[in-house]
Formats: sequence, structure tokens, C-alpha cells
Amino acid sequence: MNVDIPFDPQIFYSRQIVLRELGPQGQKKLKQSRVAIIGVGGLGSVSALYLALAGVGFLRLIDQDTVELHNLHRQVLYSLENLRYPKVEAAAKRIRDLNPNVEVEPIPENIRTDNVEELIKDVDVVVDGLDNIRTRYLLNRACAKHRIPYVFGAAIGLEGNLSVFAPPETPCLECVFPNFKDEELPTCDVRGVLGSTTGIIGTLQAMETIKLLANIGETLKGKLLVCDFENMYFVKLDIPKRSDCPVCQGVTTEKSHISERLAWLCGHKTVNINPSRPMLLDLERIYEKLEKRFKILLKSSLAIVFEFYGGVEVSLFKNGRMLIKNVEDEENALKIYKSIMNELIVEV
Amino acid sequence: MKVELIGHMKSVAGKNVLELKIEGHIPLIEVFKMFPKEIKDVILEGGKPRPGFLLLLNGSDVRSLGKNVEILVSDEDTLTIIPILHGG
Repeated sequence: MNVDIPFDPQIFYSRQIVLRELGPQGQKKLKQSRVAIIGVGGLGSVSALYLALAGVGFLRLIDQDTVELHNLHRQVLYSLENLRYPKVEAAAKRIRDLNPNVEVEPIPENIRTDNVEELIKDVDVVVDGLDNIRTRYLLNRACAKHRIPYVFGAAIGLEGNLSVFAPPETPCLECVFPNFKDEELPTCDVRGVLGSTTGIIGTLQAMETIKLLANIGETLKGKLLVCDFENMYFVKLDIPKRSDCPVCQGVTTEKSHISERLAWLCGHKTVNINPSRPMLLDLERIYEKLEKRFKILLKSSLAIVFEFYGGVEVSLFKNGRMLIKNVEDEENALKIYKSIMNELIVEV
Repeated sequence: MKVELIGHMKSVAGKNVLELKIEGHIPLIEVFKMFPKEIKDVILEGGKPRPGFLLLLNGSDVRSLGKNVEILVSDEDTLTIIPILHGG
């Protein structure tokens, strides 16, 4: 930090406070606002950046992943020195550097039935930075239940979709896209994605969020924006409420038959395993045990990353969650999880 | 009639726009039967769009226009196939 120039919010925000549409009142609203960004990958790292710079007072960042080399062409919050760090930890640091006026809460967890409501119920707007439809449905239901506006965005290749769901005023995600399965939709690793695609959609999500918070203009409530950047095709469609939408009727129950203990990550040989019960690990003590047996690749405040046997890389998080890379099947992954937990940490 | 393809459907079909010759007025479901094999998958057997796609007729979601057998189209109309995304 350059000590000769103190951080003065009045100067930092002066070029947007002068905006007639925002003004000092709007700036104050942003400062008092709370936003949760679910997923800080291609979309979330861009929306988080602009929301932080705009002066949103509180940002909760939620992501299960660590930073990988193939993320860096589009996930603008991260650089080479952040490789292997939990994304939320690197993102929180970067955002605090960019704007010390913002409070950031990093949460290195995946979105599940049992935590989604807790993570979103005390915020004003939820921003979607997810990469699969299953967790988007979970988020949509929680947002609908707690009546929190949900800024939906999705991007792949040279295409993007965007909307603002705020039922009962508007339709919800499942009114428009019911019964999708992730297997039927293309993923980033297969189809590819240009950094500017997620950059544009993430930026538009930040725009819609700021408009919602500061009550500016008209948002995409009840509309779906479809963008094809290959020929700059943009269309804004009216999306109707579906009269038989279970979410809008308030009759949804969590699809508890889906096992959430273990989940494969979008397009990797990487699996996420949650502990069977909530726990909080003492990473310092575990580090001492681990370093005697394994090559430690990284120790951060939220996780330890180490090399297990046979090219398998394990990221162990404070809450007992593990990301296991380079595994082929679930059985093997669970075996690795249990052996580490049993030998090194606790009885499970 | 014009069938406009959006996003990666362009590379699936190998072109941006398909031209289908329609005589008079025919039900939309008959148009689906004229789709070339590359994009046949967009429509399920019963004539509904597959989850993952939106179909617009002259800019309006076909789901809001009634049943596919009842929607009549002519050579002047434009159908748009929009893939829905989930990446991020």
C-alpha cells in the first residue's frame, strides 16, 4: 500500500456517485447491502470484482474449488501465485486489496440441501456463479422460499444466458427450465469457453445486482437475455410463470434421494467428499502429522493440499471436506477419504 | 420458412440458418419432421422441445402459443432454436 495516499471512499467512489442514477443515496444503499456470490469461477470472479469495486458493503463468497491453471484464462481474480489455494481464500484477499471498504466472508463449501438456506437467507441479493444445473435448482428453491432476488447467469463457448428471478413477482428458474439434467448439457471442458464470454455475463450479473440494490432502472425480471457473441445476436424474451411450477407453488421438498456426501466436479477426475458430520479441524496439528508422511504442496488458512500416493492430490479443508484429484471411481475416493481421516485426524 | 440457429447449434447444423419450403399453412409439428438429422434431437418424440432448448416462433416461446399440432405456420415464419446453458 502506498502510505502517502490514504483510502478515501468519497474519492474512490466519486466517479459513480456523480452518476444521476446512483448518487450519494445509491452509494449508501450499496454500502449497506449484503450479497452472496455462489461460485467464484468464470462468472463469480467477475461479478465479485465489480460488486466489490462498486462498494457493496458485504460479500459472502462460496466455492468448493481450489485454483487451477486451466482456470486462469477467465477467472480474473486469480493469478499464478494463487494456484492450489481455495478459491474463496484467494478471492477474499484480492478483493480486500482492491477495496478495503468491503467486508468479505469466504466460505470454502459446496452448496447442499442442508446448508443452502443458511448461506443465503441473510443477504439482499444472490448472484449465481455455478457451473451445473443441479445446484442451481437448490439455489433457486432456497431463494424463492426466502424471497431473495436471484441473479441467474450461465455461459459457455461464445454464448450466455441471463435473468433475474424474484418470485412471486416473477417466474423462477424452474418455471423456465424445468427438468434439466446436467448430462444433457455441454460443459466447459468439452465445449470450451472464452474468457470474455464469462467476463461479459459476469459483468452483466454485477450490473443487474447493483440495479436491484440501488433501485436503478429496469432489471431482467420476467425476461431472459440470450446472447450469442459469435454474431452478436442478443434477444430479450418474455418468460412466463408456469402455473404448475412446484417451486412457485411452494410445494417443493428437497430431493433427498440424491446423495450429497460425494460429488464429482464438473468435467474433472476430481471428487468432493463431505464429512459425515460437521467438524472443525485444527489445521496446525494436522499439518504436523501430515508432513511426516506426505509431501505438502500448500498450507493456507483454510486448507492443506498434499500429495497422496499414486499421483492423487488431496485438498483437506478446515471443515473436514476433501477434494480428491486424479481418482477414477467413487469407491477408491471414499477409501482414500476414510484412510486419511482414520489415520490422521479422527475416528469416523 | 427460416429456422434460425443460435450458439453452438450453428456448428451442430453446419450453418446459421436453415430454409425449409412450406406450402400454405401446416402444423408446427409437421415442420419438426422436416428437420435435418443433425438437429432432429432438439425435438422429443411427442413433438416437445427437449429440455435444454427454447423454441421461438417469430420471437415468441412456442410453449406460450398452444399445442404444437394447433400452431399453424407458413413460409413467412421464422423459427429460432436457442440452447440453454449451465456453464459458469
